[in-house]
Amino acid sequence: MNDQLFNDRAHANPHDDSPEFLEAIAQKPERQALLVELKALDSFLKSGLSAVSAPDHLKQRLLDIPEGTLHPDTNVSAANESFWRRNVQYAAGLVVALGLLALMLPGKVNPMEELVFNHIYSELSFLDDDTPIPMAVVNNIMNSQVGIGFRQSPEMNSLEIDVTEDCWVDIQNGLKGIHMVVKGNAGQVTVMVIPNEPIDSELSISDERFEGMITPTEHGNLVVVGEKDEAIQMYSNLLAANINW
Amino acid sequence: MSSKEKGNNPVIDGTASKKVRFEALVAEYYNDIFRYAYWLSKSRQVAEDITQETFLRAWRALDKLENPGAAKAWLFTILRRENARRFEKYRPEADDIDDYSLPDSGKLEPDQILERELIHKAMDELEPEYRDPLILQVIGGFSGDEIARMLDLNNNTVMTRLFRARNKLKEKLDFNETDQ
Repeated sequence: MNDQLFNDRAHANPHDDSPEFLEAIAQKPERQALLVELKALDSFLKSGLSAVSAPDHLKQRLLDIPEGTLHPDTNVSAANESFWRRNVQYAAGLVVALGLLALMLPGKVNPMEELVFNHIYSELSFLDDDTPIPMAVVNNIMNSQVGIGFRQSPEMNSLEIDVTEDCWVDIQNGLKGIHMVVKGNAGQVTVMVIPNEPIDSELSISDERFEGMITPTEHGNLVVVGEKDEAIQMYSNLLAANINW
Repeated sequence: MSSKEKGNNPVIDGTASKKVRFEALVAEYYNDIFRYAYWLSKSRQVAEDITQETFLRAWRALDKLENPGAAKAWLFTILRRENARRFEKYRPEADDIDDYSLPDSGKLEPDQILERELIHKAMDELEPEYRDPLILQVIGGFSGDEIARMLDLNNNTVMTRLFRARNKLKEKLDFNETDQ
């Protein structure tokens, strides 16, 4: 190993314990000196970086996660569910009211549509899991996060749901929903259940890549978005008919 | 796999209950996860939030963790994803980066406090593409291959960045072992 390569490898990982590296160290005293210096730097760094330690209460909060008591804002217990829903709906109502106002202005995109597409594109790279999730697990997640679920039926059970997560639809306004990814015929179908003020009537949305539908339901809106040649209406009808608020 | 993750242990071999496995993960890694979150976000409050989100998602997905020996890398990857998720939606306010005083420095000697503040300032000034793999190596203890997988880079790029990171830090800190 020449000096340049040794220097590069030593700086990249002074704790390298591969045989060829150890052999190279032994060949020259200046290499040993460099290693001593770099290991001292690492020790110095480690001590400085480790000076940041987690706050005392954090560990207990994390240990409480299985009990479902973490995050009053994200993990809703039955006791505070209506309070949470009321406040989210209030915030969401404001968003929708502002949106309706914006609709009156010519050339403006519906704010729900903008919200939905912004969210979908920001999540696109994260939602690539293709492991199917049983409907019971989907419902558990939905229930624990926003207090809703889907009725189990043969049609619903035939869906391949690969992702179900709670998500911030509009973090500035405290609007949280459920984001699901269903395997469609033309690719991923995004399903969002948003507990905000239902829009007045079903709304078709589209951009250069996707098309979809926002459907008002009992206590919120159901969003289904997929590739241009996806059977969006079919998914929307099925999910809207089986949502259980 | 670290030595702590080896052995005939029901937490490690996956036969313990989900809750017990989760508690073991929290106990083992929450401090490292918080530290890494802090260095990604530069804010204790945001770091706390990201740490909670990370473990919340880990709890939900724990049954998908096929290799308990890879738990640490798995948690760090979830954390990176949570941080990116937040970053894409809004830019959280970072702590004042001109203030390198440390919140946990009450019991330290003045020299130690000064040293740590110097390190924080130097790390803060380091470009993220160099800082990120270095923190994963120094705090996380990950190998070059593991860091490459986490950052979606090839191993050569990671090693180059680590090499440059240490070189830059030596310059910034004017580091010479004989001075320490």
